[in-house]
Amino acid sequence: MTDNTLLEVEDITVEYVTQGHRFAAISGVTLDIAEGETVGLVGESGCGKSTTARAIIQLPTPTAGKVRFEGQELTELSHAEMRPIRQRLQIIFQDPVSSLNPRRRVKDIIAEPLFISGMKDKAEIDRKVREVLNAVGMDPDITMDRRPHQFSGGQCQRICIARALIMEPKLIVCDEPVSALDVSVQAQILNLLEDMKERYGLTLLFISHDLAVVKNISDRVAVMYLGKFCELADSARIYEAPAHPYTAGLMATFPEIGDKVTNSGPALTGEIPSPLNPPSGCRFRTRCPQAEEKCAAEEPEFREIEPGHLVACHFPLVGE
Amino acid sequence: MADNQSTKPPLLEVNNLYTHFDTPRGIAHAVDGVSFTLERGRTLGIVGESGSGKSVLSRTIIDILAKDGSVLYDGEILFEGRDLRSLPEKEMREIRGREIAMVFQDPMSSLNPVKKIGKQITEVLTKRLGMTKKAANLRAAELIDSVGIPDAEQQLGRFPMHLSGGMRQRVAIAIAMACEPKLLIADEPTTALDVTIQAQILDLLREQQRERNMSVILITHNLGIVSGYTDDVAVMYAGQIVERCATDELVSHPRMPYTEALMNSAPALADPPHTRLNAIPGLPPNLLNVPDGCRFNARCPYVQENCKTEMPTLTADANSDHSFACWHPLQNEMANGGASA
Repeated sequence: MTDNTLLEVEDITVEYVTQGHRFAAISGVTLDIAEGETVGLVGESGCGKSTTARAIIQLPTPTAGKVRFEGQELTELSHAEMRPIRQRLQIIFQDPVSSLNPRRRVKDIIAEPLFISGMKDKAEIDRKVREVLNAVGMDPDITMDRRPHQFSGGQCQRICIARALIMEPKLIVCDEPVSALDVSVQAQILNLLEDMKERYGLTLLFISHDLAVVKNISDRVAVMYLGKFCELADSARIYEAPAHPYTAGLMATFPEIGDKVTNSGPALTGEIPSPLNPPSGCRFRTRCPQAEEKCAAEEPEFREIEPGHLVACHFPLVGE
Repeated sequence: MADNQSTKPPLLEVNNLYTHFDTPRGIAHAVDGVSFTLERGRTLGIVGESGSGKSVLSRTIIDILAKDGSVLYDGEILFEGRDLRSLPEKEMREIRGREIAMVFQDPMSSLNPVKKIGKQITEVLTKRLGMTKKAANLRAAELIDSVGIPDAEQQLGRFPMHLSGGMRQRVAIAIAMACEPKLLIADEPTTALDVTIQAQILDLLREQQRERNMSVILITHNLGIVSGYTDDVAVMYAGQIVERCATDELVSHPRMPYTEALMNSAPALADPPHTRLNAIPGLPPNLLNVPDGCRFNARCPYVQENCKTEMPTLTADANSDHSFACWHPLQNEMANGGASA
């Protein structure tokens, strides 16, 4: 826990009740994010990436565990106390079109956070809206009076980013922000996020199921499986030498330009088990090519195998 | 059946196909002069971004677009030499599903949510192939088994909502395979699926294709998938095919600047973190109001004057099968060697 830690997530669990069963969507998630850092969170659908993101912004507050932001404990705050903190803790979502109110003008959408925070000076609001629109590469004179349907998906995502930026936040949680976009537009948005990070001194938690996108934008990457972290390391390191068999499997199945698929069959067979009834021991063992008896009996601890490289596996592929 | 054995026509030949939508705001040029040929047993990838016309093209081939007169067509679709566009609907119904099958992106909305899996498969077998109920049940279990769904017999009694996305897509593939089609059109079959499941489904499609010597049109926006799973590829941009060749050739020597830009804009696993991406500036053109000349001209880094006024046509490079629609193609260092994959 260094001095410049912006966000500390400690052992958080989020439980839901469904059909009378209580189950943990995520459990035991621990993560520190330093100021100015980008941490990527990668995994398949249902692994708990979005639940983790939402638990951090207290929507909803985690069932157990602590979330400290700028040294302040968030899990004990009331809604009213949480409000001013949300200004510095923004989120952008996957589908930019549905996260913008179709009936409102772009300038009103972007200015909304300012109104909520009590700003009344119209000229100042106008100036700020223009500034963030310019920053995200949109011409304020053309865009301000239009409505979301007049823009493409990529442009709507720019508007969402502008809305998140207007409060000058410290941390932006990006929940699959480029997944709904075409590859050429995706590159524009990723470049824009890097530029905004520099310009506004942002810290990002970036969620995606796309391994290459996560590698591109992140300093560190966490891999999730069935509600738990299975690996966390520097972005370059984890791709070069994945220690968890699941991380290695994800990379092997990721289709890349120039890859010729061999006939050896997919690297990972089977499907993600139900979180209502997770396997005993290591949660990945039912799909793991190298599972042994110990994996069913004992849950592997999430431990450091080399400085800054954590893995939850009894038989990691590298290190120790 | 009437095929002349000695000069068998290709399985599918599309000639100068146009599909335009008559909308209140004008004519949308969704497919604008597309031609290609697909041989038996081959897999053709059609790659492009949203709105490039790839899905409209596939829906035009099996003729499932609106029949209210709002869709305008021109050109030929020859399936084993017969022009599908001139067939009466009754004959087209015999081909659709039976000779040409389709798998869609979202397996939940392409399956009937209130019908058991078994019923959805046996329906095809009894109605299209005239099988008895008993034979159809047996065959359905075989089909379910062949697409890698465990406990086939038991699964037949379940509803789509009981299955995961990957399993649903396997069921959709089993239904498509029921009539042993000669051509399978898979429209973004794995876009809704996770990457590990995606690999399983693509492997399954390839296995089915090889076993049945079927031809496949694989529509995707993902060049990585095209690269791994197709023999040939056509790149679409704003309703037109802008480059077409063997997949290996495209990956190693793209000639059309759009193809190159598309490949470069995707982040690669091999690049170090924070590598600046080569985004393509601007947006694809509005299909209601397509630009003069080359449709990529406003975004092309190599644009010259004639690109803005004259439309390049898809032409093959000298002594190769590599076609591209560009006035100023990228250099191919192998052009003089005349080598081909």
